Amino acid sequence: MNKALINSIKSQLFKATSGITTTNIYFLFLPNEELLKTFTVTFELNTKDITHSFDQKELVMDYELIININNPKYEPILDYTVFIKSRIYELVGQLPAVKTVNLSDEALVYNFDLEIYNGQLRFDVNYSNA
Amino acid sequence: MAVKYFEDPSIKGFIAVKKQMVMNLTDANISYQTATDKVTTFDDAFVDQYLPTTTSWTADATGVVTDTSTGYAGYATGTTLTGSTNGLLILETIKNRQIVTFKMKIDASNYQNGSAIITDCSHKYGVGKNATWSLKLQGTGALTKSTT
Repeated sequence: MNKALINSIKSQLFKATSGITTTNIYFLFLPNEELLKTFTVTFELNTKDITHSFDQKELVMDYELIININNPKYEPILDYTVFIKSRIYELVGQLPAVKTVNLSDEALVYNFDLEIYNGQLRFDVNYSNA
Repeated sequence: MAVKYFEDPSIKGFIAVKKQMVMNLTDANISYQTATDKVTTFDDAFVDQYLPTTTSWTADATGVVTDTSTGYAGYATGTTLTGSTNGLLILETIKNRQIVTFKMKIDASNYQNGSAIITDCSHKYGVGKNATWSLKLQGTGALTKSTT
């Protein structure tokens, strides 16, 4: 629900995948299944923890950023994962409120139902309003 | 009887050290103790007897490390306190080994005042986590109540 952060993440993902002719980046879900045949990126931002102090509400927000990368071949996923990671780490400089960004998990799996590869990156994002 | 929440707008709880509000605290605690001496005699039929002796008090708090030093208008209003302090500044204060003034608002028109020694100021930093700090105060002398 953090507009500034979501917009920054989307902007960074666009930069990371600028080498692809058609970049499909979506928040939360893919609009149609046809897109699975191309290189697509979806992301979601979940709130993990909120710290309040006596004098300031929502002092620190801990978010989990989940990025899913879909493609019928796994090679582009591996290639662009490097750029995506790099751009997501750059969020610290993009927004002063973002204090730390750390990768918490990464996985590459094959989805037999959809017949595509799915790469997933999970980041812990610490956002402070102080 | 009304249940009190420390964040109740009517309370606006805070701790002040050296007449400066300590900002960004997430927990605060004040503890008052009375020591006792055991005075059981043969005549007491094996039932312990005690007498109160000295009293003492301590306070502690934890918070998020920030470099905020300007305070917030909403909490500065209606108090006699000026300025604010934070975890980083308290870390410098403890090095001076001085007795500091202490004030804690625990209810509307109920301020606890005293002198204290900062006995512990601990900062904790972890990768990807909030930087947090804690403060421990040993009260010296009386803890007195005031209405402002």
